[in-house]
Amino acid sequence: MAIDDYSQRRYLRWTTGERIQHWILAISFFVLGITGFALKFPESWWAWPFRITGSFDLRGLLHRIAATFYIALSLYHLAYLVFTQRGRAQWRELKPRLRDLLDLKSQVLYNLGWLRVRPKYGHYTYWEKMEYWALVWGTVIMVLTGLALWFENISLRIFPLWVLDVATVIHYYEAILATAAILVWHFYFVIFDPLVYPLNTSMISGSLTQEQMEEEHAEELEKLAEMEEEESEGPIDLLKSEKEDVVRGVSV
Amino acid sequence: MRRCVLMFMILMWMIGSARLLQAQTRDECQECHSDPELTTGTESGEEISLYVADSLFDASVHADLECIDCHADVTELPHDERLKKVDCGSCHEDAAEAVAQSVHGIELQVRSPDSPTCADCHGTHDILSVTDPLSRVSKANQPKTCGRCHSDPDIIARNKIPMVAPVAIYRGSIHGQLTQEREDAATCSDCHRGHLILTPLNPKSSIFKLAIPKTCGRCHESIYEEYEISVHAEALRRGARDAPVCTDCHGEHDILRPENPAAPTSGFRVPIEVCSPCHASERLARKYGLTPARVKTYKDSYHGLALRAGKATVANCGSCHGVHGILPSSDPRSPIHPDNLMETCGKCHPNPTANFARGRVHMVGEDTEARIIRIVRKVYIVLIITVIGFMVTHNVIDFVAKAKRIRLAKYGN
Repeated sequence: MAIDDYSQRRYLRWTTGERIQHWILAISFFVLGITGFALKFPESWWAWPFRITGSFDLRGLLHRIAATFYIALSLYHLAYLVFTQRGRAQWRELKPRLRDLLDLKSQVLYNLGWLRVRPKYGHYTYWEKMEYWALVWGTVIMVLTGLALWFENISLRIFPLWVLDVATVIHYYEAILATAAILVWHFYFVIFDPLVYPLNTSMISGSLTQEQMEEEHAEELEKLAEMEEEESEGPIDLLKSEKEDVVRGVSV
Repeated sequence: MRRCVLMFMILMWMIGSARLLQAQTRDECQECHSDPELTTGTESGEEISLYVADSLFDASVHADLECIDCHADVTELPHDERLKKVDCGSCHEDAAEAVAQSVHGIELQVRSPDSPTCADCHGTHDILSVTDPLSRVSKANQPKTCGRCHSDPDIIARNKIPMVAPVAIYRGSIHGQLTQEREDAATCSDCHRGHLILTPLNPKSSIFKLAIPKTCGRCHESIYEEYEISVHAEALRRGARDAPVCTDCHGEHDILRPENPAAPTSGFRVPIEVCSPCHASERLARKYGLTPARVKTYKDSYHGLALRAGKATVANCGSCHGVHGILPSSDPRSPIHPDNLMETCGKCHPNPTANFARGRVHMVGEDTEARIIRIVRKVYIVLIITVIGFMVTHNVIDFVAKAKRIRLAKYGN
């Protein structure tokens, strides 16, 4: 069914599976953060649930459970990128390009008022790509150092003790970096951005509005319009026939 | 001539004895003193009983003595209204001499009206053998007897006794609790001695710092032997007065079992309450060349962090260094000697390998491991400042620009 009123159109952003991926990631990230910093700052207020006698083992257990979810999710995500059509299309969109750096430059110049034309973005903006690759970087670091510390009896047999000490330091500082990046970068673009505030709901609804698409993915919108014309099937309701349009929405 | 003198002396003795024998046997004394109503007034106007219960005296250690053996100034009947204080020292010379030198005697140079006499601790006509559980000075009763003064806030204040509530604290200790159950639990006199009680600053005292290990070792023999070879005992012998003896770690009157979570020697209190006060002290570090930063490396390690959060199963100082017989890592007997590390770490970490011995711990300052960690930390701090700094700058610019756009769209200016 075609929707003629453009302002009412919704554009597929995330499939249900991708949204589940995101929320598993978000929850396990949050639990990892709380239970991790509770270890580093045992006297702090957010560590109080784990100060109750005997509950410190619970802290470690929760951290490892969340880590298990996180690692499983990362592996699933890797398989998703390799083995599904939608995943492969996402991968193509996510690959870093020189264009992203130029976009960053243009956006900053535009924001400073030194460039008249607002840059147009495809399916993923440079800040979303930065977010994604920062997450990938952080995940690799955290999983490697985390596993070395989790299975300390195995790593102690392989490495000298200082390697574990270094792993501990890296795990801690990477955690600060990752948490700060989420707070400063991710939360700005999905919450505190004045044009987005109070929340970009696409991770709940799975779709973006015409207005949102024009603001952040103008180039993708233009390509979608071109495709629409070519196929002359009228406007596409991307959510209606998800499977077919998933590819279109992403890989154009 | 000499014979004459001897004869005279024998004669005098016979006259004397005869006078005494004629004077008083116990039965004669009891003619009056078996009356429970018999009293006299003291100089302060107080009325005191002069009744001596036969049953109590017969049960006492002095049952075979005559009254006049102690009340030697009774030479005829009726005797003087006011008799002298009994001089126990006429028989118990050693005890009297010891008390005279003790804190209760002359040691503090201030004889107080509160200073105890023999009778204050031992009683009078009813003195029982110290081994009799009912004795005032039996092991179980000593806290109560000593506490008559040492738990009295007025006496403690009046005599400026530094220890304000030793008995109450002792009763809560493991020794105090055990006196109720077993006869060999340490009571007041086991540490302080009975008569020759001296201040801890007197080198002859049983609680003088250097004498403490021996005093405790009277019961805790094997621990004493272990302690004597330790780096602490060695340092003390060589004049390091700050080196700890038993009481520095365990406390004094308040000693608790290490299994008791309230004890400073309990697993998760040891690093903070027992070892840190010296090993993290800048003053002692300067004096003895210790490295206080090593304590911090423990506190920031997984062991230290989990312990601070109250997890008692992680390693504390004693888990690796030992407890009473702490020795430097260079000593082959030390659990942290490289040859023993495998076994020491293996107590908690199963299936240890020789690799464990490669692990150097508590690295600080110019130690290679500490330098590597410092470099990694610096790299990360620079990375965090750069990345987060970039993000903040970018977003502030973005925020201002978008806010302007919104205002422009709303008000058109």
